[in-house]
Amino acid sequence: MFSPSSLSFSVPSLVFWVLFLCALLFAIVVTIILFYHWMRYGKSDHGTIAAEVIYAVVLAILVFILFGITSQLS
Amino acid sequence: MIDLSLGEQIVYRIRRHWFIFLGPVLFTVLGVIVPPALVFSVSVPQALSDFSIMVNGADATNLMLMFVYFLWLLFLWIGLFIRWTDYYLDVWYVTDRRVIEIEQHGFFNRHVSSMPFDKIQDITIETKGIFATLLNFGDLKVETAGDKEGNFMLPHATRPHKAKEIILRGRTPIPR
Repeated sequence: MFSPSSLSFSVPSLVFWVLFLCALLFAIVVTIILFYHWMRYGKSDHGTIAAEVIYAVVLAILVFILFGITSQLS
Repeated sequence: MIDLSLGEQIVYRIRRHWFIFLGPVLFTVLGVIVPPALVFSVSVPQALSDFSIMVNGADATNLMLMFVYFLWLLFLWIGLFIRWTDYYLDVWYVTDRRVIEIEQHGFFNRHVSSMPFDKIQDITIETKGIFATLLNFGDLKVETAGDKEGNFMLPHATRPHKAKEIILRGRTPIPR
């Protein structure tokens, strides 16, 4: 029966840092493009402002958690 | 961002109905719930034990699973807002002189066109299905006298009958 702890393999910690940095780079690029669109085409629109706040807060939390997990893996 | 003529005023704004965006939202919610549910449902006592080990910071395997899961959440979250942008930036503006259609396809494909009221020949509304009927949305089509390429079409428009009425009325502002 499968259980998480039954997996027995080791991955170099560098792999996780590379994955984390790639994800971070992707997130930064997409976020810049998204904010460009929202600020240019949805300026002063309530829906866009709410989206900016919710998106940024949750993204920051996710990146923070990922950073924490990556740090523990190294 | 739309360019209005001097003295021109926006009378009404038409977007696609929120129900259309429910698909990506449900996909995201399932994407958040299903992976941990699968892991936990295989063996609850074992999973609880694993969780305890993980909280204590002793088990790297659980951390790896957590890493993959949160990476997945990150992409889910970004993907949801890419879809939302595509959905939200498709909009029609009815001004006191014309109808402006804005279509956003992905990030780098945006189409803006306008149709003066005197060019409008007919407005068609098509409501398909039980949800469209109950939630009051449908396909809104504004036709010109000329070729079909000049026609405007907004699928799943919110309150299409009200939109039609405002477009036909032309220039009377509707209080919000």
